Amino acid sequence: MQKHTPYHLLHKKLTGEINSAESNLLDKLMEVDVDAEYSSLETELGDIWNQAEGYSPNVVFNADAAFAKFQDRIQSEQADQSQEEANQSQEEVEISQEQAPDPIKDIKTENEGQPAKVMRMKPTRKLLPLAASFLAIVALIFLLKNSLADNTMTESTAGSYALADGSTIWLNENSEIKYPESFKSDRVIQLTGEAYFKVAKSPKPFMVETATGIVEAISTEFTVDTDDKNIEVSVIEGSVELEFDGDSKIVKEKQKAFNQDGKIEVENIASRNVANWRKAGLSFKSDNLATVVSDLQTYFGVEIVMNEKGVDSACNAITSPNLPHTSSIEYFFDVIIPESHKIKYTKNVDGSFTITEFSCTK
Amino acid sequence: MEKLEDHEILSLVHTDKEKAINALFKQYYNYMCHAVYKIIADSVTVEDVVQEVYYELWRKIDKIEIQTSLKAYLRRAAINKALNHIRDQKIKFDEEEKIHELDLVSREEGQQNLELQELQDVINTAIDGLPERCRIVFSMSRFENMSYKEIAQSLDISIKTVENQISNALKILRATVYPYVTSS
Repeated sequence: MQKHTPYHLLHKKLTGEINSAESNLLDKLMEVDVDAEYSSLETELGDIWNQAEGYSPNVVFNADAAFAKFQDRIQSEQADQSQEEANQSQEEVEISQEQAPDPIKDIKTENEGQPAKVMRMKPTRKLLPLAASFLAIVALIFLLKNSLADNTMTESTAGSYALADGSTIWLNENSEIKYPESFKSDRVIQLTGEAYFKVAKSPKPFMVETATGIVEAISTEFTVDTDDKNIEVSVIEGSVELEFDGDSKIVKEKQKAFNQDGKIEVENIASRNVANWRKAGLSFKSDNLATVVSDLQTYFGVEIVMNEKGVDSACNAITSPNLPHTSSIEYFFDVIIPESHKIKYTKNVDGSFTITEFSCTK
Repeated sequence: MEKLEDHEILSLVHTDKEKAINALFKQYYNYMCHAVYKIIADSVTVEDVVQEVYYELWRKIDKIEIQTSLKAYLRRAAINKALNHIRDQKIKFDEEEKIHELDLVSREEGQQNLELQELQDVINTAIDGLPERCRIVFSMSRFENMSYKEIAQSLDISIKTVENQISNALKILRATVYPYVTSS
């Protein structure tokens, strides 16, 4: 069989994904196919494809054993947590003797079982009091939409999510998205927190609704970062329209927009590290220092210089656990690497780093 | 335990969360594992992925609104987690897949008239024999109905690589199922 046998074209024909150019190409190949080789291939692949749907793996999983494992995990976690709570409540008692506790404070307990995370604040952007009433209206609209939509997926774990239309969302930590399993008319995504969007082309408008504003996109890549008062949109490719409190602005490629004093401000993006967090953590497996340094540079957006003399470049056994998004490069150098290697570095005035000493022996 | 309906499980969440999760394990654990196993043919990884889905569900079940069926929700969550896991592994999908001669001509005898059940068995064996990367890409297309573009995006690979892996998978499957054609 020839090397360019169009398996993938026949496959696309089977799945209905084939476009007219590919279809024409396939027809041409079929025309010159004197031995009817392709048409028998087409039949066979069709049979295989259809029959493969009935594939069922011949493996057995033990649900009871898995549940037992699950119980162990949550029990040990609850033990830790109740210990923590015991310590905490003791502290609270001491405080309450001096001042009355705020009754609203602890109503929302997010991330149970996890240490509390600090929310990023943006002190430069102030908010008009008017926005509060706007928020209330938006919230109401959300409630209505929620109750009407069916088959809504809710995700609050950082990671990437493929939508039915081919778009992808990378969700950051402490964020949540809601999206329908399939799109009937407009593609409406609800976002709390921060996410990066890569929008597939479609005549259906793509909209990101947040508590603060609405972002509408055509075919583009952008990030949206919000808390309950602020919104920031950075556009990596294409352009989007941001609506905020009656104001509306087009945000173009390599620009970011945010709300300031109740209005939308647009400025050019200076940093080349927009949405770096979407790369799902950072981990190494038997990598050499050059690879590690190159990845660190991309990931943290800093320059790292290696001092040739002290660096053992033959050492290629760098392995590290998955580094959370929130880690700093110092954490990597000070904590992760020293577990298995010897490292010395300096931080330079311009923000870059120089590795002065590195070897495999601890 | 008899099979519980979604609304029964969801109301059980408020009274006895652990019992609710236990019911979900009994009813859907195998179903989820099988769905993930179709893509990742490694039982240990599959069970880790599914375990994680249950754990996350445990943590947020009071807060989320599940508007599809629980079954569909859990399946989707497991598949998304599996795909994230694959992407994090940084598997080199674009390296040349070596198709062994052995894979291609594994059945010598001409078995041209396969009965339907036989064909299913042969296909099952053939899918089980696919190399890891082929299997992942093929299964995403076959069982998750994902387009080339969707596969490329969620694995962070090029569409060309998806084409190659699909072609390889089909080549191997065909050579296993219809060996009499390629041996000529």
